[in-house]
Amino acid sequence: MEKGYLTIVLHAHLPFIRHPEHKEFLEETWLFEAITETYIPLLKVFEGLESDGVDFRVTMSLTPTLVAMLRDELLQERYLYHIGKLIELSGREIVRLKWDPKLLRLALDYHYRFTNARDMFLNKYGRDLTSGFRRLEEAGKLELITCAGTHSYMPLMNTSKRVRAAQVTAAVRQHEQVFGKRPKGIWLPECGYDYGVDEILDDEGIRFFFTDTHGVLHATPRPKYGIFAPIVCPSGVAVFGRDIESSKQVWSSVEGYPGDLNYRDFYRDIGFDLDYDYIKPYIHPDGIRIHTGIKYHRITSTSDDKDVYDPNIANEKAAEHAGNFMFNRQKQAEHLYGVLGRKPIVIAPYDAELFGHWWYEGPEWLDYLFRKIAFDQEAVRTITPSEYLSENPVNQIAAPSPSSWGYKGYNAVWLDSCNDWIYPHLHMASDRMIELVDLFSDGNCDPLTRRALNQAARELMLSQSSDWAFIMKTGTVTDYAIKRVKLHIGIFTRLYDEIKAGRIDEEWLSAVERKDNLLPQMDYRYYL
Amino acid sequence: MPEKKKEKSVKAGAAKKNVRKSAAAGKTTRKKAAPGTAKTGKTTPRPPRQKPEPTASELSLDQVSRQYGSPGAEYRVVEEIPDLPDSYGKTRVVALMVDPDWIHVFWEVTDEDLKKAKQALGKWFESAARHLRVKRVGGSDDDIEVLEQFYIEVGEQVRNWYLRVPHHDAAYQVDIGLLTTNGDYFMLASSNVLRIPRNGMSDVIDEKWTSVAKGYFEKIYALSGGFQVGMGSLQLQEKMAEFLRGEVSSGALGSFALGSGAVGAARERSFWLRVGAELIIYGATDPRAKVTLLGEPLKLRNDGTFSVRFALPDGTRDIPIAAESPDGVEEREIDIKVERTTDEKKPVFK
Repeated sequence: MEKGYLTIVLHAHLPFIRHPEHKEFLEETWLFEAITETYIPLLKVFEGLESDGVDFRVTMSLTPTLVAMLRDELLQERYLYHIGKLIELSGREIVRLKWDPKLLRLALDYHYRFTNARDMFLNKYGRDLTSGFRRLEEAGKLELITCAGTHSYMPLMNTSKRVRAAQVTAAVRQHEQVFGKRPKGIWLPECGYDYGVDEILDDEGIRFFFTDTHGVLHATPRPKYGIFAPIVCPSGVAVFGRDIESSKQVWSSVEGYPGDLNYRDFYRDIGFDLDYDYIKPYIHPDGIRIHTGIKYHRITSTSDDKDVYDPNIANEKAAEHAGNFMFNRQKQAEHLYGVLGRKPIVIAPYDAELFGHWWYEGPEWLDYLFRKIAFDQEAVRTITPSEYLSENPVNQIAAPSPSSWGYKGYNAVWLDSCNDWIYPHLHMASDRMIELVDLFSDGNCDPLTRRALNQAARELMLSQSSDWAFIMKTGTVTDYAIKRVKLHIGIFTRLYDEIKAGRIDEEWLSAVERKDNLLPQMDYRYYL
Repeated sequence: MPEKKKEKSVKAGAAKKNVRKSAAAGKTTRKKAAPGTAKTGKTTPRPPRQKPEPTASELSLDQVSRQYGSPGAEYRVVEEIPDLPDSYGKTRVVALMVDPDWIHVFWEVTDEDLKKAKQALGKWFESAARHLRVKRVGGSDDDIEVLEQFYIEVGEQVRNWYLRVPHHDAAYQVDIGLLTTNGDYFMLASSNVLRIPRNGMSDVIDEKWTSVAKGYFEKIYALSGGFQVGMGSLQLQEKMAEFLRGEVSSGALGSFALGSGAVGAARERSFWLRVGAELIIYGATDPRAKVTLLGEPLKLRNDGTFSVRFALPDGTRDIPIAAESPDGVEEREIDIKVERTTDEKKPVFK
């Protein structure tokens, strides 16, 4: 009999980035990279476990914006183009590296990975990866949960319950449509919880969500089992708190597994390393060097000296780290079981894109972990939150504390001198959306107005993506994030003015609909 | 959906004629006359450099554009990214929590509402200064009770503020208004009520969910927070506060869009130099010849030229390039020998 449970949560998210007005667009490659390096490898791991008869449980959120992009025909086609280029490039590398066997081995492996990714994308999943995840859920191995419509940061949307609720409603409806059933759980964007959010979740039939450690640990009254059991809000929705120890072992930039010197180095990419004339067709059309995904070195040290990557050693490391993680969870479960007198549950959530993209060996680590948990020990059992709640229905009622998993534990990342300027605009747009919705609350409006209202909702939601404020804070593609906020507020404002004036430019509206085509079932009445 | 067929390129030897269509691009490339050495006795002229044929992947980008709509007006929803307005013509104040120690407030005051203030205040208007009135409130939503308050002066051009929260586990409401020199406050707008949580373990204990064991909660807190068991609650709180300012969060590695999160060891950016060497072997022959390089068949371009690029590690390499005439009668060979050594010198500090 097990002494405790482990719930691994993978949060897969990308902001909605789709630019049909350009032939190619740099930020769209985030999606293509994630497909090749994270989503397909994860599907392979889970399907491999399944076919090998290894019992395991994993929980995943696929955000509505990510799902929209995975199912979009233009982006699917562009992915095929993108992976085609990588297949070509890795093929050329095989020729170029004829005299360097260590690098040649790696080029051959990349060529295999890319051709395999293309094959699976096209032939196995019919271009729609969501079908792969859905099937795994139907097979009982995976619990799919949702996230807010456009990954909006709830604590800073604090002046209107209806505006928060609409994000949740939009997500739940899409989830039902794409995955065939209503989600029982949700991953709040950035684990951003604020007073009242749980009531909104309850309205949509959601039974559980997650917060960072202090969200549960600082609940009122004190949680008897700390973070090792969920608490239940007075509204009836359960909350699971993130476990710090299992987080540190993976996330920490200082002591976490991904920093091991034998693992693949992210930065030594041939897009930067190789001669310009050779690599030119595979980098940005303007000649700016970018990551290709083909990398030949291991981390080696903190200096610029990097050795050639050895996949065998790295694979051994992944196995060793998986064993170490499992060992720690075993010890943790056994100890806590003694202290609590109840089987503890350890919640280990991670961004899905860590696995395979930032941490190349991540999927291998997960594979080893699930196999070792299944065969090498008996103290810990992997479980989904829904399974846990049905086996452990009696839990303490307590109100969680507002919190997030962002730096410093609250809202500072998204509310700072670099991004605070967006909120007057987001709040005004929210107020105006409510105003519009109340004008047509009986649902009586002509089709054109309805289209405009629905698109206004989409534009508002796009402006509310927490990604823009996050990017401004971390300073990566800041200009792009600023443009996106201005663009969507600008489009929203024009739609608002046109709807109120009763004069909607149909041609322009159609262009907007074709471009920002996420959440096709969006209905402005979600805001009622 | 079946994958798109790759465009076939026309076989090089198919036609001796000069003109050959390049399938995808729709361009015509002139094929030079087949080198005829015997007739004139002159050496075969080097063919002019040709633009490489578009590869399969380049083709499909054009195809993608054609199929889904080439970039154009219909997808451009705005010609320029619109500027956000400076103000919205509505007086209001909004309060947002940064963390339990800081609140962010933003506001707008319309000229109209200032005029109303002027009318109401009369002679006291000119000397009145704009102030935020920060109120700690209690009671219910419908019956707000002010427990304490203080004022912060803000300039007329100022539109937002970060203010320090005096008490955790409290609710605040912030007004924007004018404070006259005789101490009256004319409120222009009032914010939402903002609840600030406690920044630590709750002091409310549910009798049904507790333990009589001494130091039980401290133990649970330590285990939950990943701290050493045995610390007192004050020390634990401090540890937790430290942790919340620390590194374990999505911010440490960042979500995908971050792009800069360094996995693993932070990169030391000291001075560095990296050098690689590659070898390009290129040449030309009769387009119908059979060419080998290092004994392996080498593909010629349609004009009979070829080039191959290799990473060149240290060592000596013999590279024979051989060509057999189209009629199979004659063989030519050129051998190239290349040696690379690398001498990485110790850094010199001037």
